Parts: sequence; structure tokens; C-alpha cells
Amino acid sequence: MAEPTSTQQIERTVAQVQRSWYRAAVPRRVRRRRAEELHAHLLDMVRAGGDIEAVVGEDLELFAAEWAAAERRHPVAELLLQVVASLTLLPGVAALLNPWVHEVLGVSDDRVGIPVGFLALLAIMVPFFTSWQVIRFWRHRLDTRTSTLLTAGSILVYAIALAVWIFWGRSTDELIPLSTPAAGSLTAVGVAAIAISNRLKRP
Amino acid sequence: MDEARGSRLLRGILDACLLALVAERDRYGYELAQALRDAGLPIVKDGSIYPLLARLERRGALTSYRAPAAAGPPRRYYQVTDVGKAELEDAHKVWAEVARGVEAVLGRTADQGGTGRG
Repeated sequence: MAEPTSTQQIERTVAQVQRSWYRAAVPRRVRRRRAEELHAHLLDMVRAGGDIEAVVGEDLELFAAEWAAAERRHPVAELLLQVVASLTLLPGVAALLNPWVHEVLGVSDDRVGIPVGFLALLAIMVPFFTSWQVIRFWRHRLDTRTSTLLTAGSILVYAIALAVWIFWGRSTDELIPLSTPAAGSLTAVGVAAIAISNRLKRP
Repeated sequence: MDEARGSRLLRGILDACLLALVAERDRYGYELAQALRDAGLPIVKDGSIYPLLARLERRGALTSYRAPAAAGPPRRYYQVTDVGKAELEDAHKVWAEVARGVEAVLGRTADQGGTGRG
């Protein structure tokens, strides 16, 4: 029988690995199944007098990332579809909602189109989230120092770009006009890209 | 033994070892790790078998099922498929060839006291 302290340690370890898988977008069904498997292994190891580190190693994040990467069937396709979704769904929805947003703001503008300020924000956000995903997907190939440096670097670049947008890009009223069917098509492409990306994640 | 070299060498063949163990009988993760350790293979950490098992399962060489345990939580047993059996057969052939070649080259220097200069 495992000691209560060991049981707590096991539960903490499994919970930490599950959090890491959640952040790596591993589907819930896979997370549950693998967590149960890891829990049983850790319990067997502790009962046999071994320690948790002999199973997961010193770097728990790396261990979780290695396993998550093995579960991922099409990482590049998943990533590309997410980029496509960001570049189509968000501008499409923004274009469709533009007249309504202006009505809420009390400004008369019933044109369907993508606000240039919003596009500038997307130009910052999409590369940021893409680089964030790249680091998450391939974390197992990076050592801790490199992944920390890359994460800190991308946050810094994003913060600077966001500050530039807040001071100079946000206030522009310019609009790239789109017809309603074109905005609707952009939105549909984005939704389809998300659906395919989710389908690729399934085991 | 140089453990780092052992782990590096093992990396390319560990999936075949896992297939061979599962081909003997259905086994779960802890049993597999234990069998590798008992065979004297230098696995750095037990958990390193799971990404390999996931890849083997993904390419259809293994399937898995959940079964209750006498004590503790249920276990996930791995079972070899026909694809896995064919892969194992290939791995046997490749390993025999590589081992023969390596032995032929390393054997030369070993016969000469390890220096290769006689």
C-alpha cells in the first residue's frame, strides 16, 4: 500500500501532467485515458519501493510534452489550419459585425467591412499565438532554457507590438469594405478550418 | 557502462523491444518497463516508453484495452496486431544485420586490445 504522502505526490504529479496536456490541446478523452495509465504506473512504482522521478524524470513539463507530441498525428496541418482559421474567421466576423458595433457605439456606419485597426491587431496576435503554439507543440525538442527564452522573447515582442497598436493603430476609422457574402464566406472558411483541426486531434 | 551511449543506442530499437515483449503476452506499462529493466536495458526513465507505445498504437502495430486490476486502479494492456507482428519480424532482420556489421567492425579493434594499432 502506498503511503498517504506518496499518494498525494502521485496525484499532484498526474494533475500537473494533465494541466500540461490541457495547455498542449490534447483532447480530453486522451488526457483521461493517459492520466489513468500514468497514475497506475506511479502507484506500482511507489509500491515497489521506487520513486516518482524514476518514471517521469526530472523535467515534468518535458515528459508531458514528449507524450503529447506522440499523441499528435498531424501537428503541422493542425497549426496551419489554426492560422487559416484566425486569418479568416476573425476578420469575417468583424466585417459582419461592423454595422452592429457602430450602432452600439452610437456612430452611423452601416458598411460591412474589416476595420483596419482590427486587422493591425490581428497582424500582431496571429504571429504571437502561432509562435506560442509552435513552442507548445515542439516543446519536447527544446531544452528548458531555450523554451523559456523563446517564450519570454515572444511575449516581449508581442507586448511591444501591442503597445504600438494601442498608441497608433487603434484609433484609425478606415475600413476595408466587403460584401456580406464575402464576409460570410470568410467566416465559413474559418469555421471549417476549426472543425477539420478538431477532427485531426481525435484519436 | 556509459549510460548515455547506451540510451542513445537503445533509442532506435526500443520500440522493437516493446513489440517483442507485447508479442509474448499482453502487458501493461509498468510490466513493460520492468521487463526492460530486468533485461538490463538502460532506460533513463520508465515514462519514456509511453510516447513509443502511443506511436506504435497510432500506426496500428499495437492496440490497447482497459482491464481491472486485483489491487489499485484499472490497467491498460497492450496487445500486438498483425501489423505489429510484421514490424517485429522486420526489426529482427534489421537488428541481425546491424549487429553483425557492428560486431565485424568493433570486433577488429577488440581483438587488438581496443586500440586498433596492434
